[in-house]
Amino acid sequence: MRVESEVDPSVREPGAGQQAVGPIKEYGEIATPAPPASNVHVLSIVGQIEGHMVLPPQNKTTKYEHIMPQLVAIEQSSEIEGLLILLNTVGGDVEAGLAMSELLAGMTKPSVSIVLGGGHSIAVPIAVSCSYSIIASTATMTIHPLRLSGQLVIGTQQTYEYLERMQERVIKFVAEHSRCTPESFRELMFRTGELLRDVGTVLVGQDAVDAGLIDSVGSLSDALKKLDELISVRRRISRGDKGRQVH
Amino acid sequence: MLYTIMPLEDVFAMPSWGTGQSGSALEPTPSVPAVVGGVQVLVSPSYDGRNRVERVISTDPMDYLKPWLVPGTLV
Repeated sequence: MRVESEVDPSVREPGAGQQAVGPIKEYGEIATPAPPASNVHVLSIVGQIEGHMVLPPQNKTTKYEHIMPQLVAIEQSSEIEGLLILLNTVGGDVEAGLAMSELLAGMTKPSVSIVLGGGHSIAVPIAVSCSYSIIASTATMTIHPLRLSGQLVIGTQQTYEYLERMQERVIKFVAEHSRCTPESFRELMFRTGELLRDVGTVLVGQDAVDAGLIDSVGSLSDALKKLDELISVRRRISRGDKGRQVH
Repeated sequence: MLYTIMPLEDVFAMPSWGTGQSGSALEPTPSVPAVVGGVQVLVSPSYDGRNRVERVISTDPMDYLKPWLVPGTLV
């Protein structure tokens, strides 16, 4: 079995497809037919969303340097027609989350997100950035204000304004890409009496749909069905466009 | 800047904190990106000089069915 270094493009680039059958031959195993190509690709965004800072190794992370080029590749690929986003994350870097959300929102290919388990904090803009969003009935989304270092005390006016502006970026994105208004999202962020040590809201399954953040409650089959639907709409539109160009 | 429900002291805690020992066996070995059979994966070095597949980072769902990329496999 060959493992090529990530930093050595000369070894990796030629005939990447042929390398896939290499290991089987080496071990003398029976050649298995190549699995059928899928027109839907999957990105799982799990654990902490890691951005500008490398987190200590006990954190399970999804790194922005992996996700962002993958989104570009999916948009550019001629075989891939749709994208499924699996979200089970506790949140993470604000700018990494916003960067992924902006890329997802800027794709022409249909995307469907499923919130499973938890889609908290910065996962909210990622979930709403897709063409269609689904939440599992048992999944939760926590909406709370941004904090500097885990404490609620803000020392200076500048710190407060900085936090406000960072928060505003998240609120604006969520409001632009969901049925939730900036006012109601802010209200969810600062609601008192729901979280033990903090202000904020925990939305479980249907609550997220009622709040206007997520489109529907469902799971994998619902997501794939919706994605197929969106893909066929896009195919019809692109056929229509080509027809118009001919005439 | 982190926007997460996880307390920051848990995010930034070092695994050996409080135990008085550093580099303990419980500390996870850092995994490095590699390409195996044309698929991007994260591997961690194993005791015999080979690498253990930790995680597949491909967007093609069919890559996850390839038997030589099952996490834990030595490559």
